[in-house]
Amino acid sequence: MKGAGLLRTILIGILIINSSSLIMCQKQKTYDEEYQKKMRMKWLKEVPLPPNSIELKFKYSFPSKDLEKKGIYLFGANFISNDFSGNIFVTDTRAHQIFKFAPSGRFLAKIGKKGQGPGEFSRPSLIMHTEDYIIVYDRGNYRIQFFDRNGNYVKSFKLYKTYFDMVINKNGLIFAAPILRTKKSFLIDVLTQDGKLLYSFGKPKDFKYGWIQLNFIKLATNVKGEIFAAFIHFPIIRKYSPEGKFLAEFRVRHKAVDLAEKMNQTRISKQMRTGFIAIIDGIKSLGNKIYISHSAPRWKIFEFDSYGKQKRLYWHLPSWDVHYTDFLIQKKGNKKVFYFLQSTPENKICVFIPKIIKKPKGGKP
Amino acid sequence: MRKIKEIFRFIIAFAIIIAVLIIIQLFKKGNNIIESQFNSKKFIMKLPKFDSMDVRGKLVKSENFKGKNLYVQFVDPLDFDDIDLIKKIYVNWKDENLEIVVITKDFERFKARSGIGTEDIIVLANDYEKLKSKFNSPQCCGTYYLFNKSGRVIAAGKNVIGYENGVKVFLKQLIRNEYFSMSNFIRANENIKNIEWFDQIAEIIEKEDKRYFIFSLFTSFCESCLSGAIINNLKKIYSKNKNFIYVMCILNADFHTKEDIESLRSQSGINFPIVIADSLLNQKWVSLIHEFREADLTDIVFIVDKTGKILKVYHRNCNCYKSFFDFVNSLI
Repeated sequence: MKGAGLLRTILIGILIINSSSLIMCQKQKTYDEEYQKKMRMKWLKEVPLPPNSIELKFKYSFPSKDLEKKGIYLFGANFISNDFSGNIFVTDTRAHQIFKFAPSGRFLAKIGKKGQGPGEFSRPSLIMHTEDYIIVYDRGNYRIQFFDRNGNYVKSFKLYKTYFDMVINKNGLIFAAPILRTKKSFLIDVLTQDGKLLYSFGKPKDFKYGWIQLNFIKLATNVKGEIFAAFIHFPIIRKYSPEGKFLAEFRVRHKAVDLAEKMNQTRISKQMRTGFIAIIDGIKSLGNKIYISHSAPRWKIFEFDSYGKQKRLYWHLPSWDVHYTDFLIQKKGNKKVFYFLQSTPENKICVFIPKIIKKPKGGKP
Repeated sequence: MRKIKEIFRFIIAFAIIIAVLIIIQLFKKGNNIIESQFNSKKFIMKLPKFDSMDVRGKLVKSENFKGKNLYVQFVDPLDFDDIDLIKKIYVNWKDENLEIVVITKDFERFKARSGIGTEDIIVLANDYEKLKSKFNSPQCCGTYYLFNKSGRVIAAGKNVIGYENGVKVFLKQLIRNEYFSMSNFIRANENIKNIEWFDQIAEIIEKEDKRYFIFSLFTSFCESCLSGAIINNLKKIYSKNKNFIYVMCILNADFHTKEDIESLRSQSGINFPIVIADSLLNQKWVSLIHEFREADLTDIVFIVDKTGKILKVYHRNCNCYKSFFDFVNSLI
């Protein structure tokens, strides 16, 4: 009898394990094209646009396909910036080069090549501009390299830390957001153009797990030299003085952002260490305004004034398989021009302008 | 009793059916997992069976490579890293005992960008996706595989890692039977004064009045690398025992300049000496890096006593990080 009881227990055990495994297998979703499109449609319905949001109209893209024969094409483009003349610079981490274009999209120059020597790059990730220099964060070689306005190598200094983002303020100080190694580290390091660490500031958010990822920040600086630190996984932006004094904290307010934040909060409460959703894709500044991008379900750019007041929302609905890694805004006269750096399905820069809403005659817009 | 038996039979039959269903599901799932291959157990261990027509119209079968060393690389001709790697493999290894197979989706672009013809290598350009799936290669990027004569995987990785720090060492092992050994550079129980390329260190031991000396050699010097962990340990040791332990970091002169020292000191907060390797040490160090790879010749730490005897050495391949620092702490 004892043997029969044991056999029964084993069989029931197998049955439970098998059934639960089967259920788990069935629950595995396939994230194919159809599924993604369906989910996107559902999300678009759930998250309507607020009134007065401004749609962006596609104008043109570059570089053109003809340039590929000359070896000019983007493959791993991941960062876009502009100099004081409005020229567009793109870092390509797979080509290990910097591409320079005129605002019209005309190709101007390539800077560097793969390597470890002066003027060479390994995964160049960021570009900053001063009146004298093009400053490149050469991430794979742990250094910052300085080039003159013609793209000639000038100098470099080595970095001890890996940085997630960097900006240079009007006084020429480099504000860099390191990937934190300890909970006692600061969010922002301030470096001189000789690589000297002047001071660090910014208290990280405290979490039991996943605190390194949850403290990833992107940076922007305005004309006053104030520093804006946007948390990637929260709709939160902190404002600091150039000396590191905490000035204010403000939020991005939108239903899509709230939903994403809720998902991340669930992951945090489940003590997950990875897999958090990026809520803020990028932060840029133009004059005294700050712009925050959020990619789902539409590509949205939120405009804030320097006091943290949300002013406008620009949006664009790309095809389901399009992803933008970075963006840039330029002002031409009274008009804004948006440059979106597309990484899939192909690498290119797409240029958009706000759609003009025509006022009906004698009526309200 | 009969009823109970019937119930048992039913349960067993039900369990078998479910088990079969699970196995089918797992097989399906296994085929779908491509992305995480290089971090998962789904990594292929031997040459998968395949056949495909090459660009010259010849049928290529996996059986053709029995008894041959084989290098297979997936190449996206637009990817600079993919082209760079295959060019280096072609230049350095085409005349050696190695079959080279390139799998690409665009032969014309591959030919134009690599400048490699089809005389010395096999190019498969018809079944890119099918072969990518057979090799369990991730969709995100190009990969390479190195198989020995019995078809076992010797090495595999992402093309982005590059030739110098990637496949070069494995090819040397497989084809030329050349292995890297740290004892060609430094080994415990020898006297540092008898090793010519360590003259810089011998001078310091002569000059400084300390009982023990810890030296660390770095090509890459960063917080997020292994060097960061070593430096943290050295900082602790130095702060507690600076009266009788001398600590110094020596940076490879091919990767650093004297100007780098001040910025690195400021950023890392190190309060013990950091110097650049002298020409004698650097020459030996760099020649070994060229022969093997940089990754094997960085993060080397050793402790020497006042007589110059090397008491213990830590390097990446010795798997002795904890025992090295335990030994240092035991001296303290």
